[in-house]
Amino acid sequence: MTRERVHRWRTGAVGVGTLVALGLLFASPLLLAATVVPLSYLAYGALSAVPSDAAVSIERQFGNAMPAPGQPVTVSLTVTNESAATLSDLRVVDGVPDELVVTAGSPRGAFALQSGESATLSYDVVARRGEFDFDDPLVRLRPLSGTELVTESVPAAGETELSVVTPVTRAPDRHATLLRAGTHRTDSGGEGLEFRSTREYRPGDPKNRIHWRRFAKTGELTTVSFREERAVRTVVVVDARPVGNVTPRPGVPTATERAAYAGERLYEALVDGGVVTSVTALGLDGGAPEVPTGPAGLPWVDGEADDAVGTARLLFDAVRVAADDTAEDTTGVARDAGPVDGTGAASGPNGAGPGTDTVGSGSGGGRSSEAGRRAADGGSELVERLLEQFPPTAQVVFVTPLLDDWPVDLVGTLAEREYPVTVVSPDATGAGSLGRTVARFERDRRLADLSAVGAATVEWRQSESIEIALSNSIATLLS
Amino acid sequence: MRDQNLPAGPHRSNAAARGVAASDGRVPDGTAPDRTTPDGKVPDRTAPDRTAGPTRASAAVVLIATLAATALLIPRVGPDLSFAIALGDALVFAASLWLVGRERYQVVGYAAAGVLALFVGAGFVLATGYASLQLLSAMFPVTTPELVQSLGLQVASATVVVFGGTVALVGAVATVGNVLRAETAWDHAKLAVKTFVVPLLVATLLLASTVLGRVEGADSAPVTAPLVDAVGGAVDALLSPVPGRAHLFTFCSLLFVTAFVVERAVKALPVAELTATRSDGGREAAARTLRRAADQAALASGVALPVTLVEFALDPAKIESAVTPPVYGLLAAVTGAGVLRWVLAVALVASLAALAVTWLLRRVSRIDSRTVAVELMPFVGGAGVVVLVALTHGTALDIALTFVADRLPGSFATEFTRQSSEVVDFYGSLTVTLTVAALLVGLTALLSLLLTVVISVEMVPSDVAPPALAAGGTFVAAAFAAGAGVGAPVVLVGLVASFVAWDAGEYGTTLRREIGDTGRERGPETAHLGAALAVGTLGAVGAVLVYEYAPRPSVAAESTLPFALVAVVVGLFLLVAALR
Repeated sequence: MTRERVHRWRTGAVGVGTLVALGLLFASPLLLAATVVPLSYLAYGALSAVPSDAAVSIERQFGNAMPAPGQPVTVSLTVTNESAATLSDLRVVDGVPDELVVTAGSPRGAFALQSGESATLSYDVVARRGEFDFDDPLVRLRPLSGTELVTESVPAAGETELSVVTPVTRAPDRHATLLRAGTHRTDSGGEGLEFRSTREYRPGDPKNRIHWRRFAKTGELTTVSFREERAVRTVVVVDARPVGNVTPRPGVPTATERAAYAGERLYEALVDGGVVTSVTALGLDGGAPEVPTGPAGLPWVDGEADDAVGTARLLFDAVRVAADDTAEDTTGVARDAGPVDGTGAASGPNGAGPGTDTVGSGSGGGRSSEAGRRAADGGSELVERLLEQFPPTAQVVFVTPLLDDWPVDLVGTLAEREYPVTVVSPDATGAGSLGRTVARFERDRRLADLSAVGAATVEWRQSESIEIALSNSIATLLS
Repeated sequence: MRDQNLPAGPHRSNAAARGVAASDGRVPDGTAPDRTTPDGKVPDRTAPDRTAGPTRASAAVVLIATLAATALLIPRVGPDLSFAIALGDALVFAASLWLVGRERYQVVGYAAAGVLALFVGAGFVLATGYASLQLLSAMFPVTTPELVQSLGLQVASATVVVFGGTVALVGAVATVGNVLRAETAWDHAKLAVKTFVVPLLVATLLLASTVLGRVEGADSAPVTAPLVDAVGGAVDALLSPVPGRAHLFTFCSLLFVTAFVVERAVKALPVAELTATRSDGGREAAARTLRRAADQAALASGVALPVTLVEFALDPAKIESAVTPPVYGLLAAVTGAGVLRWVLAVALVASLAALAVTWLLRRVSRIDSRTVAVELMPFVGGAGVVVLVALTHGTALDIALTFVADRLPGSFATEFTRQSSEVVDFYGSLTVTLTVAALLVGLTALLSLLLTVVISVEMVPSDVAPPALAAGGTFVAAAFAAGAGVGAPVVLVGLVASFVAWDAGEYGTTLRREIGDTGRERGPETAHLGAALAVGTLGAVGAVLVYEYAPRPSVAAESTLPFALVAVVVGLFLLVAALR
């Protein structure tokens, strides 16, 4: 605790001297008598002090204990005067972690509290992945005259850490389970449930596949062959290209971050349902050294590998790091800076993507981004590299914010090669400016184009919980 | 115990980000609204703005207290119109400061502020001058000479009351939006100076053309005759010296200055860029030769200059006998040759012009068009002042002269009317009005410069400059109002209002810096300001009691000085207690 005097009423002394001098100059008894006014203020300042037994308690609560990334969390700070005296000027500033953005309200407040009285201040922060420790609130007391400062950190009871866990590190969410195991019928013969054909018995065929009814009739041994059921191969493709490092408004996660989160939750749900799921990410450009690469040089998590889940976690971590690195590389072009052309987050196949910008806020091009230039984020070359790594039969789940036309080209190529594609798209556009409106219209057009080429589309709107988008995604995958 | 004096920087701790104050109660960097975390985020978009001044409630208290006090004080010592003029002047001044402090529409804003500079100066002069003239007309002539001193003191006090009240109103209005800061005062001063240049130049040209156009009567030109004589004598001495004797000093001086300026001008000219397409480099060589010659001439004349001072110490005859008559004759011919001096003068003027143009072009080429426009807009404002004067000079001058003459006592009015008529008849109403307008704009520049100095050297705290001006002006007005014969209640109300305004402004600024202006801080703000008002009220009641019931001190009485000393000692004691 620090206690210090503030000499606010030194002007009173100047006032006294001036009035005395003028009083003598004008021979004015009034001016001499008027020195009582500044003397009163001097006395007021000299005699006023913060009560010695001043004591304050603070409690902090979060409105949502387990928020998803991008969700606002209301933080409430209740301050109580525990002392016997009235605290006429109590100021408090909460210790918001630097990484969290306050988007509504203020973590600062000033109160006048009688003994036992409480006051609450509330503010909203945007949840981010990870765990964030709040510092102790700082409290400052002043007497009525303001001539003393008492400053102290007061530990806050209640919540001190805001956690936003990553999906693959927590227990599976049973609300997003599959309705049934992912299987589909093939044309190859083998074990299964549906009759396909019969053939001559060969030594070694399982007894439960012998056509006993025919043997009973004809005395011939024949073996029944069924349609083979295979577990569906699914490939989750996460679009982590720098073009996705935009936000609809300051403080919320970028489109890339939301795509990574959606991809991770989808992966978890598919793995829980027994689907063999492989994962790849676009736009990392060597930023995931711990993740093995496929034959085409892109990071690839093989769903049939032994530690697929662990490797997938590394891949999703790398995507998050890439998104944060891009934001840091464009320091000075902060998340609420650098308006983006409504037509162009369209960096296109050879795009040097922008830094972290706000979607569609008006002006355009010419943005520079080290991260954008370092990533090979599009083009027919990338499409071919992707297809080299895909298994011959798989359904593709493409998680992309659809901020440029390249994903439409990719999906079109996949559709030509008869890959079933589901596109899950977190919405990063917004409203409130002409540019944002244009960006939203262009995204809607791309969604329509995707539907036209036969892809299933699932939107994850900003106002929706991730669970709704997950449910829609799974239902689409299984239909 | 946590360290409260925390360093600034992007990776500082949360405590700095939370605006922990340093030992003087001020908050170090860390609460600027554009603070970002290492990943580019702004962690608290509601972080207080350190340049925003006091909270809205405190600003309102400053404004209301100052308005109430000045509305009571100024009409008590002068005409009611003085208060209205002072308030209007404050509004115009605050508007000018607001215009120069804006980023948007800066070009238009600067032009408008330039025109408004005329009204700022005019308002100041009108508010104080009107009150003074009214009092003079009411109090003079006097019946006995002994009254002159006391009434004069009363008029002077009343003038100070109006002046203080005007300053207070400027501070109070500027508190709203915190438009008065060191940087805006400085920008406004620069703008006013540039604006001042245009009407001044035009007025000077008009004056000079009027004087020169009436050459025969130039020595009888009103007001400017001595100046004309002095300038004319200097020009004659420089360009048309008396023949028959040597004029070493003036010639050497002219040669030195001309050679120096010519060398600078040739060096500044972009000869290489302008002759880039020529292959022989002849012009560059000529420029180098000219520079070398000018350099040598400057060196030679500079060395000779101290020696030429001998002609002030010795007679020409003695100098002639020292250097031999033929040499002296040559020196007299060269140094007295008017043609040679005119050549040097023309070269000097041309070189100065070339330097100015080159400098201007280099500056303009380095900055963008918007900045150039903003830099030039004050001159456009000055041109606007000239146009305004040109449209209204006849009527405005008549009204002003009549107003002043009607309020001057007795023979002063007669003499003023005679003199002013002579000036207007000789120079014309446009010239006279434009000169006055230029001086008013110059007054505005001076006021802005004074404000800049006062704020920059912390005569008033820079972050609470507007409330400090409001409080200081109100205090001065209230204190001098007693000398102007205003009654005790109004004086005491003015004094209390000054302290309340100061307290509200300083407290509100600190509160906004630490917490912001969200509306949640009204509780402590109300308690604090209420207490300040209560203390002031009690003090005023105490002052009334002392004034009414204490033994009346007077300058002639022996009890006065002890009374004053008691007040000073008590004040010092309390000050020391407050400073512990």
